[in-house]
Amino acid sequence: MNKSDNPLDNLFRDQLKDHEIQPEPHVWESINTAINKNTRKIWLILAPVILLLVALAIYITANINPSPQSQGPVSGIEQSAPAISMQEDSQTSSLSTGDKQNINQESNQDREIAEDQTSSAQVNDGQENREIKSQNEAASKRDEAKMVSSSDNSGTSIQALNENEEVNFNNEKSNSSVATKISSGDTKNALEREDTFIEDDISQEKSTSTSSEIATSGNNESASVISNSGMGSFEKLATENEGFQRFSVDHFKENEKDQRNVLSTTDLCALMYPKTNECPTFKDLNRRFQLDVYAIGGKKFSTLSTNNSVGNVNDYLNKRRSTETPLWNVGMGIRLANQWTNGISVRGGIQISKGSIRLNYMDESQRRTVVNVSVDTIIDDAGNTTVVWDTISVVETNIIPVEDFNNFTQLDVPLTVGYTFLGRNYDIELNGGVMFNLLFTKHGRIFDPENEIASIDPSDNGSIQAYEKQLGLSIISSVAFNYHLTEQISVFAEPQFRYFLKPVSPELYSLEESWFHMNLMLGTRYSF
Amino acid sequence: MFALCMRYARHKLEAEDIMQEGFIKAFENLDSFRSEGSLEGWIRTIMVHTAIKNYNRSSFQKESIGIEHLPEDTMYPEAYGDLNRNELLNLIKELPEGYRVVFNMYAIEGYKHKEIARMLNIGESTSRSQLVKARKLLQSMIEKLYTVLL
Repeated sequence: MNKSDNPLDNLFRDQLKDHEIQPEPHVWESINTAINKNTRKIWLILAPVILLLVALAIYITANINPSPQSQGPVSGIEQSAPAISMQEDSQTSSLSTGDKQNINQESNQDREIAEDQTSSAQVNDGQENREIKSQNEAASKRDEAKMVSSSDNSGTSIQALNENEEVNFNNEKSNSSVATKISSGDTKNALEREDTFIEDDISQEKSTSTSSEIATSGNNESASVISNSGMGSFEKLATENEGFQRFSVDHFKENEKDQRNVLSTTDLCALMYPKTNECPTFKDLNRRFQLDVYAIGGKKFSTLSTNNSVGNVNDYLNKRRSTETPLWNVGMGIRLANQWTNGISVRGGIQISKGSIRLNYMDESQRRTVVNVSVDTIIDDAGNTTVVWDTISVVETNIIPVEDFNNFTQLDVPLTVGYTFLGRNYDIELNGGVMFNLLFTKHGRIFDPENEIASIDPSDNGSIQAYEKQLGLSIISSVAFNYHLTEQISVFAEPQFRYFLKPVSPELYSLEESWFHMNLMLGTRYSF
Repeated sequence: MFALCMRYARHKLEAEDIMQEGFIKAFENLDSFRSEGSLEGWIRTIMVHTAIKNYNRSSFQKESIGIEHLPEDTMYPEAYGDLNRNELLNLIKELPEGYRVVFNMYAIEGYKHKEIARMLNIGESTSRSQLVKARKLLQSMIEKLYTVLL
């Protein structure tokens, strides 16, 4: 530090160096507000990390608890068990067992019943016609119930199953009356029975009588299937059903309670679509691979710091901070994913991107001399006029602002693990993983510690080694919103956060520079 | 600290901005403060740097006057004792931007011309000439003030 001997300097230094003035209170308030605001910025960094952790937690949970997607037949049996006991000999009891063959058989039976009724209705009165209509509707509902029940067999929602049971009960009423009518041929009798069913609760006796009447109407094959579809056929179904082979009946029965608890807590469909009758089907779920082609762009962020508090280093740090502004990051890439049916996916690909940092400084070598000439006319008391010429010369330095752009090109390999939440025509993915840098080139200029402009391109003479040869490893996390255009093609938008684990500056360099990117990926996905 | 900001700023609002920015910087970089020096000195350095940054981005930094207009060296040491702090502060604030920053850094903060040149991105000769001009202007202003007081 310099200490001048100039008396003027001494006067000002002595009087003002330790002079204090109290600022107005609002200054402190604004400082406090600004500091609190800055602390919120940390969430920009924490949020993607939390997102990554959540994705990992879901992944782990999905691995520990058997996913309902892979246990469709189990859930179907679990939930349909009470229905079977109540309708032991009814037609619908076989529907809820998950046996597709039985479903098809019954569907055909319903159509036959409806057709038979239609033919007989040609000779009946208007009352009968109304009945035919109601019966056809009943058959239609029955088919719908089977479809829903069929979706249960592929493993979907407990709630959907409960609702299916209700539909089955209603259909049972209608179809029972239809069967009764077919066997007796008496319209009035059929109406009475139907009324009885509407007024009373479903009873096991009535269901049994209905099935016996169906048997007399010639549907012996159907009746035999129905009669075998109660709890007694449980083991048979378990062994016949392909999707059920993983779980032996004994094992299932032993762990019945635990299984129910697991299913009730991990049913994604019930969690995401509690008001949906049918659980949405994910078109890509049955597909093994997904190919993504995407463009990526976003904002580059850079932080410069130093662990050395020596004055010159701090000056250099401030110099670089004041002259460099991170701008953008753009690129494109391709990646391949393996999607499993439990929602977990693994992605890998290759991506090329280009980033830019703007350099602004005043060129010190540039100088300009400005000459101002002023002319004053002075008139004295005697009226004499004097013209006074005055010349002012000003030598200005740093007058040429220079703007330059430092460009960085990267070739990276992203590897991520994701979890997919299913939607009807869309899905949401949480992805997290790493990105390996394969190639890193840089072109441009920065200030060196001697306050001179130097190239950052290693191939240039006198270049400064302010950046690593390779960027090493980054962590990435993203949320993808994928909209299905067709069964195989979809488009997605995916905000992504990328943080470079190591500083991009070498260890021997006096400053430490770290980067992170906030990007948006837009692309097309082909599933196959 | 506010007095320091007032010395570098053109007006009170600018001084408040410098002070706010400086304190936020200090808060954000508090972990980099080593207990080798005083906290006050550390914050003071940050304030000076913030004021310089503010000066660098100011559109008024080229504000200057010709040295031809400056009066010859006149000394009124007897006047110095009659000036209070606020008057001195007002005199500094009346200096053109470039002069004020260099004078503050050299005469009051104690920086060398080499350091000033590096921090302000100017040549050392520029720093010296700015200081000379600042002194002459201040002397001129003191002379006028002293004359009025007499």
